[in-house]
Amino acid sequence: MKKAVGLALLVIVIAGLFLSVRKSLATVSYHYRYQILTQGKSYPANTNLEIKLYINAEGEQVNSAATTVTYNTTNLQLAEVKKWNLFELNVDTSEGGVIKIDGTSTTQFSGEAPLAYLYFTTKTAITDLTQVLSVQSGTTGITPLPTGSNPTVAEPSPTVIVSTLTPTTAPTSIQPTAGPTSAIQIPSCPNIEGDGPFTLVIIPDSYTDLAEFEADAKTTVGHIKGNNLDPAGLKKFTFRYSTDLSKDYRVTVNQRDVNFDVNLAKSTQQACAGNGLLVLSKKYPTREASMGIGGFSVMYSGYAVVLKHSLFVAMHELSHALAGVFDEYSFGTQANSSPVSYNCAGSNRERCQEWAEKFAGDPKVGCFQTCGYTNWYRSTQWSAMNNNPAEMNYFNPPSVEMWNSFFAKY
Amino acid sequence: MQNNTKLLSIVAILLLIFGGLYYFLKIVQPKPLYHQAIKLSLNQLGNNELSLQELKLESTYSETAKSDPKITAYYQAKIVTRNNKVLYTTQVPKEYLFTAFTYAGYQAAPPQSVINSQIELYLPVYKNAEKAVIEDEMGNTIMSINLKNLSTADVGTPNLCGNSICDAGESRFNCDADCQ
Repeated sequence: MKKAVGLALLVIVIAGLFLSVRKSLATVSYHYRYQILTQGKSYPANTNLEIKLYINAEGEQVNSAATTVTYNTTNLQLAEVKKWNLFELNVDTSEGGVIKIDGTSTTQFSGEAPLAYLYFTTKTAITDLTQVLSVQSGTTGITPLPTGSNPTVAEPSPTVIVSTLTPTTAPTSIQPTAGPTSAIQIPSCPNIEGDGPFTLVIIPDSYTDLAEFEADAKTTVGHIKGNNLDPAGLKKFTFRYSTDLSKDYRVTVNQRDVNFDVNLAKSTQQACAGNGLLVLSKKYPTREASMGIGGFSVMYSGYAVVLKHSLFVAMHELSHALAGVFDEYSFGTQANSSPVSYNCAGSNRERCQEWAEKFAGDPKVGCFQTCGYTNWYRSTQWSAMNNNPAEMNYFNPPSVEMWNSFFAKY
Repeated sequence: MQNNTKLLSIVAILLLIFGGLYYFLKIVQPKPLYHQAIKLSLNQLGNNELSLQELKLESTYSETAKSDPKITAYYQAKIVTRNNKVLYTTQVPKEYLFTAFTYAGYQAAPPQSVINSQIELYLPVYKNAEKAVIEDEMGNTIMSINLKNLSTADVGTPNLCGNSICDAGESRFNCDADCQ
């Protein structure tokens, strides 16, 4: 009897151990994949191929990687294996058609990270790279599950653009959670004026003369403050500028799009302890050279760019970037959705009624066709969110309300 | 009269207890290290497909936490302790919405969405931080990065002593000139 109980206990212990081992294995799920960075789906002979190799470790902290890349030597000639930031690599290419890669990182992570770059030259025309190149699962110090080991090939980063915005009615803006940052002095980031909790860093682009930029920065601050917004709200700003003229923020404007190096500008903003940034760019000397564009911004982001020939549009752009106010001049096209921003009414004009009741004493307030899109409506004929330079100092009541919501956060 | 005194005493004691508790909680609230930030670089390969590009400490100011209810598609970066206490949360949009001021007489275009393909964050450095967690807008974890191996030893801070401002991190003990 005792023997039977002992045996049963032993079986239970072994079964428990077996299950716990299985469970620990089951939590491991990672694989390797590669991404073809060279454009196209089929490649003629003598094409240089750039391929990025990734490790994906989900649900497991890893700091090492090991995999084998196999390729057909009839079709591909290996040129180089390059390391990426995270991993220190050992690469063995001594065996033809096989690349063994071991990598270690000081960073433990779960999720996906690049392991290495692979460079090949095609010897023959290739219509399907998966037929001649594959990545095997390896070890990262943990036994992988076979199910996670199949490599997948991804196309280059997607270019399909989908709007992220959904309509809301209440005016909202960036919500800070940190405390005031203003009263500090930072070398290479002099203060212009103000000691409020929201620090706007004014950044030079394509300037070669610091005195000229300083003068423009001060003029811009004058434009930002010279309007009908609540003076107490405008005191929430601290204006500071960067004296570093050496950086190229790659400001680009053309008929199709506008852009700039957001991350470089953000690094300058951080160096100056800013909460938002305004790049002043001298790159396009005239309105004609910039295709009629005076400035641009990223909605709700705190990032704006103003061209030197149009410094007075600074507050218009900051209205997008900080307070989320929408353009009121015509894009010459209709919208398929309802407006998000409180300063525009949709095609049903319901918000016009709200404005009429809320701002009943204001003779300028009405319901005027076009608020960016031609089937939306704006509250006043002209305002700073329109494109008449003579009216850039006037914010209409809905825009003022949106700015007040922004100021109230600080 | 006696009852009133009793009541006042009780109120005073309660105020003392809660005041002390508030003060205690305030001083034990972890504060980020001065002029240090974790620079976290991520590539967005697709929706909820992030790849870690770089993680390093920089001698710069960390960014103010941001969120905006109008942005519905975003990633959330959190700094958490070993006990999963969240020390810091910020949001970064999956797409940027660019809009340009165009003069009358020129062809104006509606705002354009651009995928935020290269995300860079400057997260605050806490001594008791265990990891940085990246989530999507639904709270699903996409990436978790161990911060224990990040060394603050190599990251210098600028000497602001002498600028006539008692900066964060300065006191009468380490910068008498600014903090008299």
